[in-house]
Amino acid sequence: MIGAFGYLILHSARNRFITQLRRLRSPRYAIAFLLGVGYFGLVFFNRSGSQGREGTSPIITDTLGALLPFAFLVLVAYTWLAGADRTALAFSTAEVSMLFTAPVSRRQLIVYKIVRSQVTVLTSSLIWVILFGRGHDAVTRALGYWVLFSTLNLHRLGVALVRASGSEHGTKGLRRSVPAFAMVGAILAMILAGLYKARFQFQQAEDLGDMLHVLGSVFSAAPMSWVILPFRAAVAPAISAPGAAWARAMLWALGLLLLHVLWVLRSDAAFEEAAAEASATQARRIEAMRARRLDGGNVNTKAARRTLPLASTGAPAVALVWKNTLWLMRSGQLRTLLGLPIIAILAALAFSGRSSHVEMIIATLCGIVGVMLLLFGPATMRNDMRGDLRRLPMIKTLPLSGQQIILAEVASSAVPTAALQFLLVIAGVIAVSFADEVSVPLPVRFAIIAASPAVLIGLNLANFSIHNAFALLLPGWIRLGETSPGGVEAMGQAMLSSIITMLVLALLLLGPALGVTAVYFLLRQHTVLLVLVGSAVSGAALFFEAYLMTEALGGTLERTEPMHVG
Amino acid sequence: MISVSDLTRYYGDFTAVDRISFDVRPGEVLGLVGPNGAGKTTTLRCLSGIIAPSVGSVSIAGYDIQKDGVAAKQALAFVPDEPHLFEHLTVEEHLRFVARLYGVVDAEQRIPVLLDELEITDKRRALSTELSRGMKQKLAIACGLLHDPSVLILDEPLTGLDPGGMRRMRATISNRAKAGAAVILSSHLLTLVEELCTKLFIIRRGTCVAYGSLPEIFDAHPELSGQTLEDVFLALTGANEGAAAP
Repeated sequence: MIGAFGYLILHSARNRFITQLRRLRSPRYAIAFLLGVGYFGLVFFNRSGSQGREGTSPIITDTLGALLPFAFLVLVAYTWLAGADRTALAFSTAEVSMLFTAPVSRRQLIVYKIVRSQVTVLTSSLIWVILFGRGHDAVTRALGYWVLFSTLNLHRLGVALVRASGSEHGTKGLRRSVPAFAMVGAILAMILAGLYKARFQFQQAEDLGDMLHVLGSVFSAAPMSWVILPFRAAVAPAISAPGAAWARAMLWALGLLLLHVLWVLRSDAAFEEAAAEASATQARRIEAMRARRLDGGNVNTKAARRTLPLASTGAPAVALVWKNTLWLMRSGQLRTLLGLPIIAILAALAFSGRSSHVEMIIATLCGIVGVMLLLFGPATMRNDMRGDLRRLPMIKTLPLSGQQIILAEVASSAVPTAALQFLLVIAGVIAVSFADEVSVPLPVRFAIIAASPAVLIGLNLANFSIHNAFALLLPGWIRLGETSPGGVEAMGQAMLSSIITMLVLALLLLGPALGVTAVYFLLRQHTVLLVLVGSAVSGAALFFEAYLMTEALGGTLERTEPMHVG
Repeated sequence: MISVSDLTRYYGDFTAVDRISFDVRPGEVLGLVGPNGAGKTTTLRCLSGIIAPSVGSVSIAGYDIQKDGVAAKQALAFVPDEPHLFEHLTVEEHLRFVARLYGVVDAEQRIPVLLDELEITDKRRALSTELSRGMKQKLAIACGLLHDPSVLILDEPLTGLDPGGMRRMRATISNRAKAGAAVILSSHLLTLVEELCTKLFIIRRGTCVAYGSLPEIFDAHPELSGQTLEDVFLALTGANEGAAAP
């Protein structure tokens, strides 16, 4: 049986590698691959070179090294508390149908699961060595990362099995899980008590360094030092210099890993049922990702009770906007984006006690978050053509022209993003109103608020048109579920697409900028008029550019065939 | 109502469909049959405007699907073998979405009737992800029928349906044709094709091997006269080579 498992793992990895290699025959993948390799090479050799020159120390600094055990602790605590770890048991649908019906014991399935996860663990270790490794200790560091990631992976699997055992076997299962839960509960209680005791020291800390120092001292005395011990043991080989100390650390870490292996292999009681359920959950997630939601979250069934009215007559393209808006309401996209302005406001409030310029800080943060929404919003807000590409055959049968479809799709993302930015403009203008340093006359403030929607909508229509153009012209470069790019070329593609997007956006901004400049020279004596006319001109220019782009993309959509999208 | 002339479709050097022509008039049901990889799906995709023909033309309700796609699609309903649904819309919302797209004025009256006809009324508030395969198929069919299309293209419409659902679907297809719709039905269920279709288009390796009503096909191939559609299909497509009757 082990032979069959090995065959499956090796041949799957080999075929995946060959597929990626074959893709390089296409120039767009080849260019992206070279870019990705170049980037990795630059990072690796640059780091090795600079360390060689300075003859110093690891890339992982002492601070990061000190933080790692705590990060590991938080991750493990989250795994126990969040309870969202059943997907650690997930198998692919092919594995469920082939392996679960085969004469394979549960323990053999777990062994397979552990071995298969090594592909990911080894890849992660390699990437970490490239990013954080050193020339002369790359091997020891790679082994350290391997032990750390393997332990973490096994811990996730173990937690998932404990939880599964509890839910599958009711009271009996819960009773069996009591020792594990009791131990975790005791550890968490001890940590919280220790942190609570040190609360005054934390309050007095002036910066992050101080906070880390306090944290270090809290965990250096017993019994807190016992709590952090296994986490330090797991992390130690990844941050120790080669030599006897590293060998000792490795022995402890391997011991911990072995304990995890034994724990997981002993808790296989509810494995099959839980794994089947987890696999089904994962399959739903993958289906959802393929379909539209790239965040992998589930559509909220409760949220589906709230709907929006839609008249059965009127402009048919509005139906697409309506559909996409419902998706926005029912998925996590809007929540994710709303998080940015909320963080901005919370950060401003956090600074309010320490700064006398809180109004300007709020205004600045609103500006920064607004720009961030423009630049990074499209990565989250994807309720447009990028989401519907998976359904291209269906979309192409709709009684709408290509341009109508593109315009509706682009507007579905651009308008909500512009609305969020508009809220930030209002918040920023209000904040400036209370600032002592800047004096903006009331009519100008009103003019900014009144004029900004035109600019924001135009700007976002242009920006989202570029992102949708990428999806249509280079569908292999964006995440569309099953066909999502992988490997080194994925990094190159991401870099290249970001660069091109920025360049095209900058190009599109040229015309409106010229228009605004002309308006400035004509109306610089009349600030209110300047704001209103300047915004109207730039907004109209951006809208016109976006319109032209959607027209071109509409034609592309009509010519695009589903097989080219994947 | 449906007019196909010299339809040809290439994929690189491969010819998936080679100069096929046929017509489907109102009230007719054309059975499009052929072995796997014969070019059925490519043909249906060309007819519904999903892909463009390399050569030839397709006319739907008098409109060229390439030149006047919006008008052609307004008259058309395509129900694919695999339903493509929006997982964030409920059953009822799918129908409202389609109603707006096609401007169905009396959608409020039609939607409950259609939900009842397809027995999915109790699922009207369920998200499509909560539906079984058969229910999804019913919803896809409901979406196709809501705007009362004059051209209906169905690819394996019975997939996933229970026996009751299959019977109702057969009746629905028949009734739509009687009401004047031009229907194309692609299926491997030859009994279904034999029962519902007024004429057949048998395709093999992208080319037409037989076209017309069953008596017309018998006239063209007297050696097959009196045989079942299954026998005719196997003989004309060469699919019986190596296959023995049970």
